[in-house]
Amino acid sequence: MQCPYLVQLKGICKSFPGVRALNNVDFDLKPGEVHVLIGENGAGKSTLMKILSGNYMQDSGEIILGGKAVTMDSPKKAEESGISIIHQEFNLVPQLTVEQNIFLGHEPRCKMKLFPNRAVSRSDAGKLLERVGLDVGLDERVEDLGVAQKQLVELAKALSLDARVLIMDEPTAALSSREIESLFGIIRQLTGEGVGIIYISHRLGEVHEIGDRVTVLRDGQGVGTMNVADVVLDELVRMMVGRDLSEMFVRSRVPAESGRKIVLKAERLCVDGLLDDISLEVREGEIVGLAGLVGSGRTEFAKAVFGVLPVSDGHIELFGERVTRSNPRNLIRMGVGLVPEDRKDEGIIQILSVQENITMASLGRLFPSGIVKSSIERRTTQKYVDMLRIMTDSLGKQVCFLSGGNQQKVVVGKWLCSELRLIIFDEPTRGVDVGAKAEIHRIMDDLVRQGVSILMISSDLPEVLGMSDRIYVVRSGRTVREFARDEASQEEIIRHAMGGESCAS
Amino acid sequence: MQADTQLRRPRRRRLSSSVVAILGLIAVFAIVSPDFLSIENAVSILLQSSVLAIIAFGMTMVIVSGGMNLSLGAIPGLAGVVCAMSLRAGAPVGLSVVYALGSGLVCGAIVGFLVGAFGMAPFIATLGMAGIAEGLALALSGGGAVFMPSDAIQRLGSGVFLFLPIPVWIAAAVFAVTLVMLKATVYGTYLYAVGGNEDAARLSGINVALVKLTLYSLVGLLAAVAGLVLAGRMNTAHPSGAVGMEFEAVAATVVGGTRLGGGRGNVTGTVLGVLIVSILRAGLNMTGLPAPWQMVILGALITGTLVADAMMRNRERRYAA
Repeated sequence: MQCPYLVQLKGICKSFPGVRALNNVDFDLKPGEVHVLIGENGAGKSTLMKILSGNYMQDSGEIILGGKAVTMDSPKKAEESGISIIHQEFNLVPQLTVEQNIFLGHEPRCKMKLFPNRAVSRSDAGKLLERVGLDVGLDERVEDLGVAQKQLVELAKALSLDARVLIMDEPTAALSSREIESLFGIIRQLTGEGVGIIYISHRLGEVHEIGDRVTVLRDGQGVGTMNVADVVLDELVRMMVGRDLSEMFVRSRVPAESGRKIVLKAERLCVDGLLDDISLEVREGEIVGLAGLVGSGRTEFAKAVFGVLPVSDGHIELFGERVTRSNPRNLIRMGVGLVPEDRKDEGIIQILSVQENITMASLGRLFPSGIVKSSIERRTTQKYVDMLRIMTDSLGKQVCFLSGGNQQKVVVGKWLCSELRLIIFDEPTRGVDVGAKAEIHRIMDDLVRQGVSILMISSDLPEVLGMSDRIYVVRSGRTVREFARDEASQEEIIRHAMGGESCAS
Repeated sequence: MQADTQLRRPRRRRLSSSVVAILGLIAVFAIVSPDFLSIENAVSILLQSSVLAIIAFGMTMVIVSGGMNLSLGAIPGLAGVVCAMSLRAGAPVGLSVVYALGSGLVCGAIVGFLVGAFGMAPFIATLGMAGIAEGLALALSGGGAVFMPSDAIQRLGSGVFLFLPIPVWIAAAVFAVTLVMLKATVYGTYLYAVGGNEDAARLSGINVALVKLTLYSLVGLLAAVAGLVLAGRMNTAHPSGAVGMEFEAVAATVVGGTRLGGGRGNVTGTVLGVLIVSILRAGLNMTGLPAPWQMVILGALITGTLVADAMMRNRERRYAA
């Protein structure tokens, strides 16, 4: 008798420098089922799937396909074993046609191998599009398609490889409810044909609608696998959270004075296709948390404030003045800084020294004459290195040789040096170790005591709860809920972020 | 499933606007100098544009793949010198041609290896190769032009076949080959895929390194063909004969609607781009404008088209965000 499982993952462990991403995770998939994989941002869902699809190698643990242990060392190998992954970010070539994208890398060819066999690929592509229910021309360029249509082209591409295991990473993130309905129809049809589907989702509501079994991951560990029929949503929420709050940094609380000045105010802010009504306020000396799922529009909000993304509707007020021309230069001059999520690409310049990075945004203020006096520059840098306890053996050390936590402190130092009144932190402690995390929290606490205001975007719920005076939850580009510090709980935030209010009532 | 109501991607300039530009240029020059509108002049413009065209077709493929090749102006000189020196050393014509083509192929393959296997930036790798190739050509030739002692090669550059100069036929043949490659072969699709989204191409199982190695080798070979045609037309091999033409080729490619950065473009547009550059050059010549000022105008044209391309791409990026 054949093995009852298409895929079994046993005891999978994976570490990245400084982070244990997966710790002894088990997972399996039967033919014809939809196995939902849920967990918070950073719980390890994507890492696990990247291991199964050959993008990463596990440090230890086994991958068993149809009863046989295999080494999944390349995406090609996974593809040949019948495993296809539909990525969250589309892996299509926008300039090529629908048909070319479906067969990219495995075109049916004529005998000479040089030319594609258009007759075969056309009729096959037509059948695939019919199977996924997509009604577009084969010669349509992918860049001219909508998000939902691109998703279906990805699906057709996966099916063209005769996939028996289909991994879908948040397939409904960008779809309308009608489109989701038709996608679910296709999924049911595929499972009817014996395809096994691993369905990664952030939307709790979908678990019952499409799933047969569900596995919850938390902090890189499997919390449990259950039949969907036997579990209620509240239980899933409890399994996803439940991290200890006690190890968190404790903020010094200043009794809130009434009538503190509003520093940042966003009113019905929209950015085409990304934000759809963000309204919030940050007051002087306050830490405001912005919670929500990855892709919910938190980072985009920060970028819109900074003038990197164009505001299509609504407006922003800073320090009581309506902002008309926002660009990074103006905002820095007004005293607003952004500590970006992607610090390697947007926060620091890796090959420059600690000193050059810290003074970068304030050279104009420090040296109005345009001539840099190195003694002053050194003294200024030293001040922030001491204040932030940046671990570096010299001021001239290139930032790329510092640890993640210290790099983050350099970014903070850069903004402190330019004497800001409002700092937006985007994932301030992602990828830094516990010690550095507490340190960064201490710095944030110091800052607000000096009257600086902070808007903190974070996926780390204990951090949001521990540090914030108030919390806004963003979902699908909207602020859906505001919490005072003592009203909020991890469960409540997750519920609003994932759109599971139904179970809250 | 209904299409969602998004803004459409900004459309690229159509080929028709290039045709209008060409007609406009012809009209202007015809008014300025009445001799411009003659069969002889038309043929001479075609002849002069054929070397640039061969280089530009290769450049188009490179740019479609998301790359750049600055060595395409140096390789022709090297190929010409190799052929001439080999002939002077007593080798038969056929073998000398093979040596010349081989020199281009090897230069291209080295670049392709650096770009494909080591992930070196094409701009840097080909800039280095440009220096190496030109230096080699100068060293081999002793620093000056070398007479081409072969009737066959001279005919290649100045013979006539079916009313048109042979270089024009060669350029047409290269056009046909590159057109079919880009439009109809699997390999051509891979070039667009690598230029459009290299990660997606890799995840689709395409051997991106091999695609690049093949591409740069082939384009090096084409540059050597251009070098032989050029040397034949002049009767002599100039070690630096085509230096600078790489920029004209980039300009012709971009004027022809190929997008710097890759993923979009075709050689048909490049034909028009080459014609625009060549007509402008010939026309300026006939107006009697001093050569330095002609350079200024051509340089301004190249810069202008690159600026237009950059603006177009900024708009696309904003649309994508």
